[in-house]
Amino acid sequence: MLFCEDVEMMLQDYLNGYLLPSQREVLEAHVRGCGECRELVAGLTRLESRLDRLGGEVDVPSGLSRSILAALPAQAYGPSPLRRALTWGAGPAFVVLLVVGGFLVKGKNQLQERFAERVVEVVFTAPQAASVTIVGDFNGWDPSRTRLVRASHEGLWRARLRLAPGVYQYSFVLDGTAWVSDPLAKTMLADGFGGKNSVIIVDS
Amino acid sequence: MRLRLPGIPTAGVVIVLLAGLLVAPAVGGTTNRALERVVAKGMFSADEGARMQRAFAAARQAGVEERDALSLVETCVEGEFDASQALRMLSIAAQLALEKLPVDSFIAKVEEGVSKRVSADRVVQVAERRALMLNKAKLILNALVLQGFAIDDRDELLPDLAAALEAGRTPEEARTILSEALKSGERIGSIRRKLFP
Repeated sequence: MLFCEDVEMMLQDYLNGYLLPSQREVLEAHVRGCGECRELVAGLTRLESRLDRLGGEVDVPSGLSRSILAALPAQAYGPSPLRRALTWGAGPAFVVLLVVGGFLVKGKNQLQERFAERVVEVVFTAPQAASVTIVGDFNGWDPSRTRLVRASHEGLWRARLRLAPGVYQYSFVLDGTAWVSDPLAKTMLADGFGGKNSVIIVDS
Repeated sequence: MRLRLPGIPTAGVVIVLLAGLLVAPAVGGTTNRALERVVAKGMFSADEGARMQRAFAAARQAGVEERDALSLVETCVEGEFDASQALRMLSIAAQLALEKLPVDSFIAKVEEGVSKRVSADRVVQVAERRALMLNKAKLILNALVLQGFAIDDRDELLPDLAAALEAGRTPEEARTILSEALKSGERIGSIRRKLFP
């Protein structure tokens, strides 16, 4: 089953000819049966062919947007549609707002629950280190942002992170210079730069 | 030629125009002051700075958030990227935004490379690979949708799938894991664990 938003997501690939024949078939079947998507595809196809005909880059005159605004009919900015809506639609609109508002509040609560940050405790043992920081996808890989605190004389360092559910790659930095993987991490990935990152998966 | 805005008092028009003047540089079309300050820290010529402004405006128009675009350029400056490398990064960010792919995942890879003091050339290569994997991940998820799977968490799953592909999972493996997990109604947390064993 393909929805309109799926079509929207795949449209660029479709127009660029990146979809497989079977994928094109499913998408085209949806478009044939959906007036809105048909219009969208037709509009974008027309736009692409016009852009193709334009050829190279075009310099836009500096006063173009001002000229367009000035040339638009005054009614485009007028209050009449709003006034009409207020006159005829105030009662029903209020009821609709109440119902939609209820759904929105419920949806917002569910979203908040789903994306709520979790507290993750990280620990690292480095008896000789003067400072330990953690860097990762969650703090822009910036070694100055998340410091671990020395938790014992045996060289245990710890920090509490607040992370939204997801997969994060990270590493520890000792004394601002030495990048070290987490020996407790269950998963390690090659970082593409010749080293390894530790991976943490935060559940929702 | 007069600008007519019926129904809005003159003071209102003045306020709107003033706000427009303040906002215009941020939206693009003219010089962005914040970007100008960032670019000034790099070793770019005036011409390269102007090209950076145009690329920045294009990235913004493509849908890249201003703070993301600024942070990307700032990272490039910090990593001593030359103008063509920085422009390439902005251009990839713009392409990702146009494709509705997560730009932050791409920027994170650039930040990681720069933070690890890797050469700019290598960072560009690895970041390009991340962009490619994001595209591959999108194609895999789209293919599953076309097979009839409903993927509610597509936006959250996409960067994770890209990272899994980057780490060596083949598209076939990823497709099998995802289709089996979706068939049995598994939640995103469990799918993530299977992608990263």
